Amino acid sequence: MSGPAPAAPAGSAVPGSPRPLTMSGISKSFGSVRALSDADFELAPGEVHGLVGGNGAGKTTLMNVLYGLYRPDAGEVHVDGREVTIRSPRDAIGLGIGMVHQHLLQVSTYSVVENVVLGTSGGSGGLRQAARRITELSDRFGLAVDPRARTDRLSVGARQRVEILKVLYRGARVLILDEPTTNLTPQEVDALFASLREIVAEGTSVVFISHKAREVLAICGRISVMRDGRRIATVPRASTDATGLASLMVGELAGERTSEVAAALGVGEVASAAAAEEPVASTPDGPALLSVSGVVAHNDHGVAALHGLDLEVWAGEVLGVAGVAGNGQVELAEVLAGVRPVRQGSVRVGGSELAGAPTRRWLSAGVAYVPEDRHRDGILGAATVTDNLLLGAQRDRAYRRGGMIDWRRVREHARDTIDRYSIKTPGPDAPAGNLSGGNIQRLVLARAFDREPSVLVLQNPTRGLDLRSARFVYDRVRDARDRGCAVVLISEDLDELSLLADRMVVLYSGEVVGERRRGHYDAYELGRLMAGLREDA
Amino acid sequence: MTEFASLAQLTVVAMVPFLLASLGTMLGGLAGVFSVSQEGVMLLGASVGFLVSYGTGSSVLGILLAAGIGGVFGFALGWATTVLRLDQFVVGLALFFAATGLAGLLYRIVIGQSATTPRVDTLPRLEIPLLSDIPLLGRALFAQNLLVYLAALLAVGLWFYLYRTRSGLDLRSVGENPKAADSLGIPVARTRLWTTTAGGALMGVAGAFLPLVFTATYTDTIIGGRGWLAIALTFFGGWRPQFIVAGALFFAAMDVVALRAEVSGIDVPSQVLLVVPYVATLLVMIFAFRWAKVPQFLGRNYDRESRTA
Repeated sequence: MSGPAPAAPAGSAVPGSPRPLTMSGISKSFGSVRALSDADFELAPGEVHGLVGGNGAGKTTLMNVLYGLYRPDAGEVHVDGREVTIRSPRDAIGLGIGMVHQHLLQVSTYSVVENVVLGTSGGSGGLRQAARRITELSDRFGLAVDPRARTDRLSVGARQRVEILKVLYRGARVLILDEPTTNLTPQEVDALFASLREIVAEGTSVVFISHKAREVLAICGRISVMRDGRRIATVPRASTDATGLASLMVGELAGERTSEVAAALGVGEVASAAAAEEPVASTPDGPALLSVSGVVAHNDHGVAALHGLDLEVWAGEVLGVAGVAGNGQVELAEVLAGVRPVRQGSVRVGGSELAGAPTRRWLSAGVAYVPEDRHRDGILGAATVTDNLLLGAQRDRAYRRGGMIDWRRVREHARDTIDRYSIKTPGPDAPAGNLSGGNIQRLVLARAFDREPSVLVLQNPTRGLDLRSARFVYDRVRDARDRGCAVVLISEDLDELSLLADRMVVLYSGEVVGERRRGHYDAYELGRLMAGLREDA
Repeated sequence: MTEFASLAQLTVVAMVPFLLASLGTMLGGLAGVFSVSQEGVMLLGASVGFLVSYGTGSSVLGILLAAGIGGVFGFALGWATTVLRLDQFVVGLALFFAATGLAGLLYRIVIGQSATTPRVDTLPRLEIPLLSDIPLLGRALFAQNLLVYLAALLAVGLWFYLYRTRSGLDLRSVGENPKAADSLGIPVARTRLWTTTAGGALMGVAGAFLPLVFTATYTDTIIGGRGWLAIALTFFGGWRPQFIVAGALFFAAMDVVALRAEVSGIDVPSQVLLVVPYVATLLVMIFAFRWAKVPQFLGRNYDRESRTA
């Protein structure tokens, strides 16, 4: 079945074929935050159009408006030259618009075919017929997936192919992809691009949202750059390059270290090239500060997620842990932070065994943790900034007077920390949950560094942060290393790892499947490891 | 009639209020709305069903109006949690208290104080010829009142609708991942509204069943915890009609056994026997909760423009 194709408006005097899509004057605010101000966008038939910009530039918001997920405060949308009002995704689908969201929107207990046909119950034919059509589409566009498989048993790459099939199944002529490469290996990215080329060859237009200049340059014909909630430029691929895009995205490159800008923007070659010039940390000798051996841990569903994992990290070193999301990263981070039970094996810091010890002992051993989901695991959203900065140190002698907490000292210290870490907050008593992502991360880091940690565990510490906050995080990681801290940086971003890690291990299916030293990072080689192709196989 | 056949017949009758209330809970729950007002809505259904039947002499009308008032309360839950996005648990509790109060109030307004307890005619048994003569289970399955047959048909029908039709697939996706459903054009709020309304109607009928089939009278304690047990039963049944039927039979059997033991004069304090169904529930739930497949988004409201989810 196909989406109802709106006929070209009678008497439209547009020469040639009308633009499949134009948006103009779109504004959208969330509370006091202005996400889009007078943004516009235009899509040509059969093109892959890159939509780039830093975090918070408004790329996703603009496309969510187009898909009917957000109602704009102002602005117009034209499809095929005709003005349309899109109130819900249902309207968008009816207009031939489909969107693949960054967080895959699937019912994980449903099979692939069930996920694909959802919402098309008006359509005729049973699931068997639908499955045949899915197979046909996946053959045609190189999107291999078994229609009968249960969605939660699929890899992230396959689940993403399901999302694209959902859109194609509905006969969309505009396909929006929001950061589609986030959890893919470099090889999977190549396969995705090949499919996209097939898709546009048949006349569908693609909007490719990304904050990675490299990927946009590889696939897009035209590229629109967004900054501060508006489109500031649209350039043809042929007349730009990574540096050109980067300067458009950031605005001002002066005074920024190129390697970090490049890492934050995903111009990986630049990042690793720059990083490779940095001195390789001297090979450590003596016993490792953090040593993990034979660790088995379960995920939240009680299934083993780490299968006898071994790691050693020396003082003054940054160990990067690469891998596709869902291969045990969360469990590893939480095991290293002492918040997830260790079923088997040992975790030692400075020679003393911590597995099974209460959190207090982990803290006093100098383990600090910067969790991936900072809103959920990093702070108490309803508590004040001051309370959050104190958290974990509430029993410290420094903050005690009599049997009570010495709130005067605590407040003094909070004010001082807010200054030193430039945490933007209305005041020390503001609820921490109201801060922006970057400032919450500053708060979490400030608290972690307060303990003068000997082991620092970070997971995806720059996800969702703007360039300045990301740089702040990078600087803190280097500080920690220089102070002799053993840093474990778990990230899905190879560019970030290439920039910071002195040594990198690849996590696959709860095991370490490979290791590389600085100077030997090759994205494709690492990608093979991330996809589970062992070196000895 | 043998002892077994009579126990079986009683068990099947006793199953109906559990079954209807639990199917109602399941229906809203599969769309993500968790009701906790069963006990109250059932009491209101019992009160309205009894009073209408008493006033008009028509039990069918009583049942229909009980369904109607239950539907109103179900709709209120759906509306408050989708349009106003209020907390499901808090709204559910408020509706429980409102319905409980209203049930007693209506009875006192209409009947007032009376020396003799007012009674209504209970629903007649419809004996299906030949089938009801089957030994042992014949009378249990084929010599029951109309509502028993309808409840059984409803369970089968709901199973078919939810697990064998595309529309049922859409419905369940709203309780599993409303954002995914919304992104494919499935109307989340509308689905939640109709399922909570239909669910409430079923709870109302479940309540009306008690005076119109069992007791022929109304008292404020007539539900006796069946509404709360229906919540447990829905979990026990893994939010699926076929297992809910099995669970409803189990709960009903516990009920009947406790009652029968009391009547037969076994030398055990009646209070202990009354506890049997609840202890059995507790024991079963300890195990059932491990495998119960609860809708992923159960109890949570959906806000399309929320940026945190």
